[in-house]
Amino acid sequence: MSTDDENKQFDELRRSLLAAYGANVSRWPEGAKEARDPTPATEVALAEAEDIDRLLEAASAPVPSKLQIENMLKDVRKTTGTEAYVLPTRRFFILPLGALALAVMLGIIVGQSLTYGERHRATAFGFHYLDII
Amino acid sequence: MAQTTSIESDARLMAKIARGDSEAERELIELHFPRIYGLACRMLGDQSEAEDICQEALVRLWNTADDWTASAKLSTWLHRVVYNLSVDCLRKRRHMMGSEDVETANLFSEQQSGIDEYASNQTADIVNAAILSLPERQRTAITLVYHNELGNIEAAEIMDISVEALESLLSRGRRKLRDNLFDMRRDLI
Repeated sequence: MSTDDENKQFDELRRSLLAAYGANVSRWPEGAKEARDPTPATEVALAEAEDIDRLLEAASAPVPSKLQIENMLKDVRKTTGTEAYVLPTRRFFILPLGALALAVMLGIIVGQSLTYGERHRATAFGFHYLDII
Repeated sequence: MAQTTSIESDARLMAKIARGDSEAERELIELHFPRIYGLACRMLGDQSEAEDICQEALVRLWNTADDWTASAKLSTWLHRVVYNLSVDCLRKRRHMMGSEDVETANLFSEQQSGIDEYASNQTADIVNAAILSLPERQRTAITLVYHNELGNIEAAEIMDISVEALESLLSRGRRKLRDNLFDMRRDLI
């Protein structure tokens, strides 16, 4: 490849970088920073990139206020139940309470079925259930 | 190396959040909310919708804190969720309105009221309106790279496209922005 072709290729690379990332080299990809040196053939592209950069810098993206940040923190904590760490109702009480309620219900069901079984057997033998006790 | 450090410090922060450390919660919100809010505002052109989307993304993050693995950058994860939620929101809006033209027109009218609140001068108003008039993917690429100052690889990952596709979106977006502002450019610069 001749020096002319190399220069043309270099200019083309520089123009495409300027078009995509602008004139600020700190935004360029790491591997492309070798193309940072200005060349006469890319002066127009550089000037255009600088113009657009200036426009973009004039219009920063909206930033939330301190109040919005505080509200967001509160809302996220409320939605995820992180407040439970301040008042440990959810994580530390609901699960054990749920398990306890389940155990009591299971106890009642098993107890009922056993009582029914005893009564059924007793009747089959001709006794009244209460007489056995 | 810096990337690894960031991933590790993100993992430490998430571990603290999983333990309910309120200082870590505040740190995360103060660090990441402004950036994802900026992205959502730019994508949706509506500040209250942007807040809802950010809250949804942050709640999802909180819910994954227990299982967070040190394999992803927090900022990439959050930006990606916000990007996807915003795309869904735009799609729903488009579906409700029936056509893309309505969506763009709508964005313009919504922007104006939104921009008044955050832009402090006329130039910023005009440029913000011009950015919001760009196609969705072009303005997202520009916001990620220029305003949220993310690297090209991270921005491409968030948008789920190749770096080449991102560069093409950036070039076309910048060119379109310049064309849109061409007439008034002399006054603005």
